[in-house]
Amino acid sequence: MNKKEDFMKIFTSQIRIILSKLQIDFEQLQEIRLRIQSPLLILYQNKEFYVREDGTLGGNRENAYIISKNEIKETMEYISNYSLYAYEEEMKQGFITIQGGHRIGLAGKVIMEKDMIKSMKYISFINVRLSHQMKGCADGILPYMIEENNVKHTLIISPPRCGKTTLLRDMIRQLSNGTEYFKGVTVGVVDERSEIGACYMGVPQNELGVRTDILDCCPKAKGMLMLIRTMSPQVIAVDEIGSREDIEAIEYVINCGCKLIATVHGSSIEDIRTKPLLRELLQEHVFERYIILNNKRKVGMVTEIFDSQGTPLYKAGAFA
Amino acid sequence: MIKWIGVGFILFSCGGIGFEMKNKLEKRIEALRTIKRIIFMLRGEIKYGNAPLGEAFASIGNRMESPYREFLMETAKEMEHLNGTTFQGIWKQMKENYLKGLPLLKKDWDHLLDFGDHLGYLDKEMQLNTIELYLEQLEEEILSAQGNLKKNGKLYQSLGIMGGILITILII
Repeated sequence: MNKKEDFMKIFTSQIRIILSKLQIDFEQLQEIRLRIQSPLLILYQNKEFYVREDGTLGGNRENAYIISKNEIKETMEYISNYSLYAYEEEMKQGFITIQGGHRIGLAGKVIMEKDMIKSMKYISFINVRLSHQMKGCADGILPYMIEENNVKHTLIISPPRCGKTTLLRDMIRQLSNGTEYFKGVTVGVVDERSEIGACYMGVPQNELGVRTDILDCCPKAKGMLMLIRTMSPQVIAVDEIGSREDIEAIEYVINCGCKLIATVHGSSIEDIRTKPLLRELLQEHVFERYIILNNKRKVGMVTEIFDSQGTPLYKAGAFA
Repeated sequence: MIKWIGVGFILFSCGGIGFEMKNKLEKRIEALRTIKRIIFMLRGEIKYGNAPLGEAFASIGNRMESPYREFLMETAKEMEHLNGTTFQGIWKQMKENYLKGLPLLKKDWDHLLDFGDHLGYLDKEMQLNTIELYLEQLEEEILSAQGNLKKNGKLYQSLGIMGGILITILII
């Protein structure tokens, strides 16, 4: 598996050996956490495990492999391709995207300059978030979003870690490539946190479709306006809207005749109604489809789909 | 007749030794100059291009002659593999593989390896500072070597030929 080789390369030989001994399905490995002088931890199938030197997993600290200061230093060398100086912009954001689309979150001592984050020194905490593209996860949802070859303005509402970005990614891919019953359209993506496309040196590490343009690491509001002005998208996709600028940009996008797919943190439409900025969007019936996710039964499960008036179109388990 | 051929050989070889000593001094200066050029280009790649180390080495290596070319290109290739070796390790290995033949003194090798120890893990400002430091070290060595060459170069050559004449006279 190519992606597995990609992310193994950032670890020291010792940690590589331990990780290769793990008897797990790497497709379900979500996070690997390295903390200075602390045990090696992983998040697997939404559960946390300590990793022991012999490659077994445990529920407590006993015999867990402890990460040394030197190992963190060496790992940073490999993450940055032996060139930490070249990643100053990424350090300011607190993460580096590596080949394979995996995002490495970094924490350590922050150096400030005039109220802005200049860089990070003494990086002691590394969070490797593995990216797994799930092609086809939007198969069942897409028919609800398309009517007579027109895409509906869609809002995905989901709590954290429920797979909303994975779902968004597949929606973008299928809308862009087209399906048997839908002709592909030009999609513009504003990938503010480099999670949707996960571009590495300009190349998207996830497949987003043949008609997709990506603005990587760009603030959403500015990005949406830029795309409208220059890339003539028929659909724009953004992740995690919430600020006033985002809302204003969304209104502009919709008025330009472009379709919008967005995600937002929340557990239900009522939950979104309690947020003042987003309430406006709901009241103006900007979105034509609401897709609710949760991970109570399994990650990425769509529980309900509503139309702009709040009429339920789908409920999980209704036909079960 | 054979005597004259013998004399010729002695003069030739002693003169040759003197010439060789002078040549070594010159070759060392040339090597130091080339290394300085490489480091200078590296500074540019980092300062203006923000290029990752591997890319910078590949780009510079392309413009150099052997053995520097192989040294830089193979370092870049090895870095791409990311097989669990630190940069320090790669730098040392490649120097052993490709640069060993260069006429450098022990202190030159020490400086070069030291420099490798400080590449890649510093922030931009510090990285450029270490490069500046190495450039200054190289310049100092080159100037000192040039002074030495001026003073002793002709001396070695003359001593070589004189030595040859002396041996010839002693033998004859």
